[in-house]
Amino acid sequence: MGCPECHGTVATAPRTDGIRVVTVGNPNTGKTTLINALAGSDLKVGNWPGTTVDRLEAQLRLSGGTVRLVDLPGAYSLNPTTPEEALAARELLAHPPDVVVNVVDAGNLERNLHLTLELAELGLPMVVALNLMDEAEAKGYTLDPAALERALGVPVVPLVASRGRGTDELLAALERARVPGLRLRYPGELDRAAARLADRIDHPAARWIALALLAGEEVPIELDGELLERARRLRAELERVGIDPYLEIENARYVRAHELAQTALLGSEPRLTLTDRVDRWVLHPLLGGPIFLLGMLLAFRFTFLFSTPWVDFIGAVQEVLAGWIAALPLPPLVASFFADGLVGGVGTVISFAPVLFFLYVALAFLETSGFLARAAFIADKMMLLAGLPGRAFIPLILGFGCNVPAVYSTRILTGRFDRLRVGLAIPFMSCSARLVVFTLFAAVFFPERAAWVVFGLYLLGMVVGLFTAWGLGRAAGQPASSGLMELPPYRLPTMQVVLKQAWARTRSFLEGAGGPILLAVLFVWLLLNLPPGDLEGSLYARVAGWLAPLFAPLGITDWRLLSALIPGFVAKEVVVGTLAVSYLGAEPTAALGFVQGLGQILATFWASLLTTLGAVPALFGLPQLAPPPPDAPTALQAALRASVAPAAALAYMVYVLLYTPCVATVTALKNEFGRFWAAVAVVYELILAWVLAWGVYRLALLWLGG
Amino acid sequence: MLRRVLAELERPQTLAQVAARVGVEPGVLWGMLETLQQGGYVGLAYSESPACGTSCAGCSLKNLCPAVGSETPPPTPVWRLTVKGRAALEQGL
Repeated sequence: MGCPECHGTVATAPRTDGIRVVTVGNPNTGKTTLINALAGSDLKVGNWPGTTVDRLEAQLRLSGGTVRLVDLPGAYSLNPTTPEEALAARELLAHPPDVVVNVVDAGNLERNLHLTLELAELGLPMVVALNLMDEAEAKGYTLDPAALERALGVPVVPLVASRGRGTDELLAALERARVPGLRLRYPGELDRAAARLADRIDHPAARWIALALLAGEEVPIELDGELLERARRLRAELERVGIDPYLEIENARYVRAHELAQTALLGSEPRLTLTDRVDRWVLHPLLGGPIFLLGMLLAFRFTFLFSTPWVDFIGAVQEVLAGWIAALPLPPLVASFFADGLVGGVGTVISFAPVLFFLYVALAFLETSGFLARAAFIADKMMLLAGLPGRAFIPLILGFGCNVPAVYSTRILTGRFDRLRVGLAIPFMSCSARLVVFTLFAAVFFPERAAWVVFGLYLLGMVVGLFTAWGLGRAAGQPASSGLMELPPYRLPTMQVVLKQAWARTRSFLEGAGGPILLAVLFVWLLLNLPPGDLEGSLYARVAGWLAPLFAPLGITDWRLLSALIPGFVAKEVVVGTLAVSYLGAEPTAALGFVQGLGQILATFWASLLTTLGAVPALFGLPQLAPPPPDAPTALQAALRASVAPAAALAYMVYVLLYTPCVATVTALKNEFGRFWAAVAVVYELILAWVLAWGVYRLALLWLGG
Repeated sequence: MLRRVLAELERPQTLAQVAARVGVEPGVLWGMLETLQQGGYVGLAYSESPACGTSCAGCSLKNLCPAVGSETPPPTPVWRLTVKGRAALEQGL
């Protein structure tokens, strides 16, 4: 290949007999493959960076004599950061070779040319082996080796070393090896300082050594102390006039590498990887947000579509067990203790397991697939408004399904304070259990505006939650966010890893929160049954009566409404059921035979299995956002309508939205943040719920009247 | 070119986004970041680092950082400007 611009340079083209040729290049550019292709040797070759960690040598017999080929470990720079780079730099400086063969990855030309420019400053005869041309073509690059040769002033040989393509041309080019003619452009003062220092260095690589010393780098050969002191003084002088030698030298190399790459690049149609293609959409400035929300919605729907049949199944098993207990010859109070207290309590604990398990499956999938890192990036800007980290969006969104797993999912945040802030905000996210209460009350009191009322309650919960997190953040001080993030490539997680992770987390919940939930259920059972058989005269009703003066300013005075808040502490799911019992009276549990009960369990199991399978297409169906249209009022609806005014009903809904989270959530908060913060959450939310419910009541009075 | 990279680190972005803005390929930008890291202008962020102190407290990406003392390379490295990097940036502006 011709090299017209080489004529003016210091040509040191050696005879090939007995010469020492060193291959240098970035890691994984195929240096060892090249030497094996040239010499027919059998040096170790790998398809990953760092295969060569030592100096390897092979003999090459040519017609003109023998050539010693030395393979050095891959290096990105001669200013070493790794032992391999140090070895390469030391070999080049301590034993300057006759010819440097710079092996360059044609598909990553610009990155590789940075080292080429450093080698050029060593002042050694050089040839560039433009290897992996086939991969460059596959990536969509069309290169012009001749243009690069003209720009560098040394022979440039295109190669595919693994197939032996271009190796003969490379051997021929060794005789034309030259000291590169190009000089990098540094600021004038820096250039002069380098020249002055280089004059005092007796080494072929004097200029490179001078620049390295000015940049404050360690040079891997022995230099006299006077030279080092002089370099230190020159560096200090440069810094005094506002020149940062390290930054300027490196910048000049990157700028020139960029220019050279542009010169050599005839055309590029980069072929995108799958990750690139997906990220084009996922990280799109406008579409990224909706796609992220869609992803979260799918995770959310997956969790509840797949878990609901199994929650129902657990409920059915509970009913069957209660039926079997009713069939036993036990006193009513003992039977109630076993059926409603013990079975009810254990059932409540276990009924969380399907929700948690499927949620953790979704989370583990998102985490290991690479989506969660992108979700954090996309939500980052939104969350910054509340001073929260991007990943905080995930537990907050999950809180709309169930607060318990949402609190546990704060573990994806590494900062303890951030976890606490998000943990305290989560109970304000209206969980699906509260939706049942809102739907009932909105349909009874605001039939024309039910959807808006429910939507408004969700919005209120979000605002209060974010305000809570923001307020805590403000108290701690929030400096501006900064940084650059590398996103991992997408990967399809293995089912085994996902299931194992999900089960471990679910088991952790059952072991940690099961006991407290069971105790709370038994406590409520005790309130309801003392004295036995008299609900209106029970402790339960009396406690509700004590609460009445406290809730009078909210317009809620009916003990039945107030009493439903007590089991609501155990689980919000039971609020509506308790209201039905209080207003309409409890239905006795029917006794069940063993076979009949077993049949019911099997039938429900089969139905749950079918519903789960049927959930797959439903996952991608449109969600129902509004509550279903109201049917003819049920007995409970009619009773509620007669017992409280609309303004007070609205205040009741706000109170249910914001007051103490259920016992499982409190336990989760205790497990994650300790007793103190769990207690703070309960007290804070009780007070805030009352204040906001009162405010809403007063506003509603103006809007709706008494 | 390197100061441009430093300037881009003032706000949270992905490697691909910064590469596009600087006009280089992600692989080249990675090299630049390693060069800047070697010079002490940028640092890989580590979560809950005492050295981070208040500077990490408000960083919305810090949850992607590896824990202090972690020997496992971070799956999603986050680089941030160091004091030296900020000084170099201000000097060049």
